[in-house]
Amino acid sequence: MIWWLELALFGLLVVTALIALSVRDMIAAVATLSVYSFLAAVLLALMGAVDVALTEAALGAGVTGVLLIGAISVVERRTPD
Amino acid sequence: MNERYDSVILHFIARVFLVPLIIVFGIYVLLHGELSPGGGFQAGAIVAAALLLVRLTLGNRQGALRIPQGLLIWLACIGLGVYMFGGILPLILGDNFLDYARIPVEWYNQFAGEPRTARSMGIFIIEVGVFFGVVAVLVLIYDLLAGSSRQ
Amino acid sequence: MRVLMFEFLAALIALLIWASADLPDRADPLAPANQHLSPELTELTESEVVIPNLVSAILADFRSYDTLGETFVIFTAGLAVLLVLQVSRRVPEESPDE
Repeated sequence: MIWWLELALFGLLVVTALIALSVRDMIAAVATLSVYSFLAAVLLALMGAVDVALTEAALGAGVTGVLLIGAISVVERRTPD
Repeated sequence: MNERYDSVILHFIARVFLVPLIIVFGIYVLLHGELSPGGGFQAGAIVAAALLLVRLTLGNRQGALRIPQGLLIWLACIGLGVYMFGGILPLILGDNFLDYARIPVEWYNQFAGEPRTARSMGIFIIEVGVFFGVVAVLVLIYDLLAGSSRQ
Repeated sequence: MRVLMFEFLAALIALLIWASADLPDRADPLAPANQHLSPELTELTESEVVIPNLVSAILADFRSYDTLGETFVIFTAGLAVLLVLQVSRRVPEESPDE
């Protein structure tokens, strides 16, 4: 069926996770995490779990990114390592 | 993140299109929680995302949909109270805790003109409670973080 | 050391992919995970709770104690953030007065 689409999404998921781990700027890491959450939401919707996909898209890609940026604005922006 | 970001395109898109659309979609997800995918938690997250978008574009100090902190705490408590009401109402009617088999729904069916069982009415009460709790807690966390940020 | 770690990771990934080939198909009604409790809950949803959304029926009716606990957890998280951030904001305002 559309297994190649899911394979491409899984590959992008792994790539975004590695980028979010390796990037120095924490705002960029939060943006990459939002992309990761959105890809995960698309994958869950493809699997038929629309409830979980709604939660992941609203909470993971929307609210969590904003809350993490708020937490970063309290502390320093760049990581020491 | 406290000051206002002045951009005509951003303000037009966010205030005219996105925020009303997201809030209406969130309330649709809440009201159709038993018929289509969704429910109280998802609807609360969507509406809270719309409120955070207003705070991000208009600035934290002069946002249009600003809710005072005491009202937010009260809203979270009210959400929990609605959930407990949905649990204790069957106890009064003679069933177990959170067992909605005897909740009266005839008045609602006559009022709305749709057949609805007692159990779906109980599920709806509970989802309204979860909705208010999630919206109030997410907006409260953002307001506290933005209030304690330096820039 | 690092080469050894990559070899170990590659072996683990290969083992997982090989093992996932034996998993049953997604949403297979004959899979062992769908044989235990799912038919009973589906029939109860159709006969007792007359709503089309099975997930809502399970979350808010059959497992409503779990959802009650989840609501309490969210409420407690908001309360904890309120306590922590309000105290840390009030301290620098009071210190210049003294």
